Amino acid sequence: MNRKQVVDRISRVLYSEEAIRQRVGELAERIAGDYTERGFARDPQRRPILLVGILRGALVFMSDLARRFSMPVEYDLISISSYGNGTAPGAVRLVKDLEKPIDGRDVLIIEDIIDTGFTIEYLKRSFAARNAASVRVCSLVDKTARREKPVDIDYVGFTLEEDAFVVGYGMDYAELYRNLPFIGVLKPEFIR
Amino acid sequence: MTEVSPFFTLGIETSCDETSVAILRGETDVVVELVYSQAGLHARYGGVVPEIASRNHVRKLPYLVREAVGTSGAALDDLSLIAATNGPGLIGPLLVGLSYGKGMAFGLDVPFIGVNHLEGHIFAHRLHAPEVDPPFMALIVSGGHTTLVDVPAYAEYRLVGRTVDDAAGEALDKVGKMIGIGYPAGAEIDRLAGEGDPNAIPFPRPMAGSPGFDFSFAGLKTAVLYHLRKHPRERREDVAASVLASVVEILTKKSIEATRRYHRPRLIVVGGVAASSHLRDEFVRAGAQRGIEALFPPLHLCTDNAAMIAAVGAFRHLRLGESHPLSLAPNPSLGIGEGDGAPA
Repeated sequence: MNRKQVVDRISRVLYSEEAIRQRVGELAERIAGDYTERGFARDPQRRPILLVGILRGALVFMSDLARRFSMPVEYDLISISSYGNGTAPGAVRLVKDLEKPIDGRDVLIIEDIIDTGFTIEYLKRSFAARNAASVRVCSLVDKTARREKPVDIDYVGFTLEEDAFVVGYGMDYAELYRNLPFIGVLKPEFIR
Repeated sequence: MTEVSPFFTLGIETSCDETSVAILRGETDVVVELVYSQAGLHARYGGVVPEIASRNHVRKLPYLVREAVGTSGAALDDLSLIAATNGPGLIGPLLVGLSYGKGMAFGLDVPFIGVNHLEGHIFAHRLHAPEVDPPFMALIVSGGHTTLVDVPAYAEYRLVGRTVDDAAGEALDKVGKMIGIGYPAGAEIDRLAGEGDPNAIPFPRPMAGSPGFDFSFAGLKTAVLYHLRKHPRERREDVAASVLASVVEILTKKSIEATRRYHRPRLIVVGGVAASSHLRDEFVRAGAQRGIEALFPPLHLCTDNAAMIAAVGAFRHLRLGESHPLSLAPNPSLGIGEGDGAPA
């Protein structure tokens, strides 16, 4: 399958490459402005903020975002999924945990898209229990249609109200489409 | 008036290749359920390597317990009971979870209870549907087990049938290996089967027509091997669909006939293979023809998990007053419903 055949499976582009580039820059600027000593930074040792990307979807967004910061940042990665069952809590499945302890750190969780909210809600509890100095959340897309767990998202790139199946810019369907430079809606005939 | 503090059970499951810890409030309220997957570690060997699994349980269990307690809102001191799987399963992995659980119970000075993993799978149904009580027939079908159990009431079991050789999931994993699918193969076979023709290859249905309720899957596995030797270019989708059709037909025929024979109104299907969408569809369809309701817990409760282990522990401790001494040993070949109905 070549690039054109992949792109032909997209019914419409929601956020173009240029729109994403601009929004990522704005987010980086806002976050940098917020994480000052008078702002949200709480780390007593004043270490750089720690970006925690959730594998695998957040990879593209985090690598672009990290490169737009004017300040030093560190990053780590976690691979986790959760299965909510209506409003009942489901199982949390860990595939890869963080490499280092986070106690005393200012943690900023990076997500590509927040959907039901189960994973983020769990991670916020988990990181608080690990004694992070502060835990905030940045998601490129906030998809509100299927939210089960109310969750505060501190930095949102785009708010998506319709219940559309979106792919691209790190987001997949059956592992495909992650490397599209834009975010689009997959044609329903390619969803099984 | 004094407030009654909630009863928290911490469950530990390490019988095979999934490290899992859960905290349960009361008998059916799952506060947190964590699974630390060993996905990838065993794939290159085409199956679970017990020694690698044991070492990973040792590495991940303390972390998971800390994580479960930390995110539950409860403190270590709030735990009222520790429950850990003591069989059946792989001896090394079982020892890790059992020893850790006993150590916690000793340290916290709370009761300890060892749990039969097979009974755990039945309690996965209770967590999902606490209002749908026995009597029912239960089919436990996974990579390690294919067992039919009559359940007149929770904690009362009668063994109805089981595999005489391979488990259903084990046979699927081995077929997966033959057609180049990584371990575990179940999910991928289920997916491929959706694109294949289930009637493409007439694989045998071993023991499907024989009296009694025992199963056999080794012959099917061999039939696939011989077929692929003769027809090396067979479409993988057709092989997957045809094998799955055979496995599902054997399972549904026997289970539904047993449910009917024991006059049970419903059949619960639990264990990893119950995650197969083709299997679910066929059980619902075939059950409906016979007036039998087929029920399945959600996927995360079908696969090995500690929530179901905590659920058995809490039930047996609170309802039946059971607990075990810290000398309890693991039993890799623990069965269910074979003797007087007590699984321990």
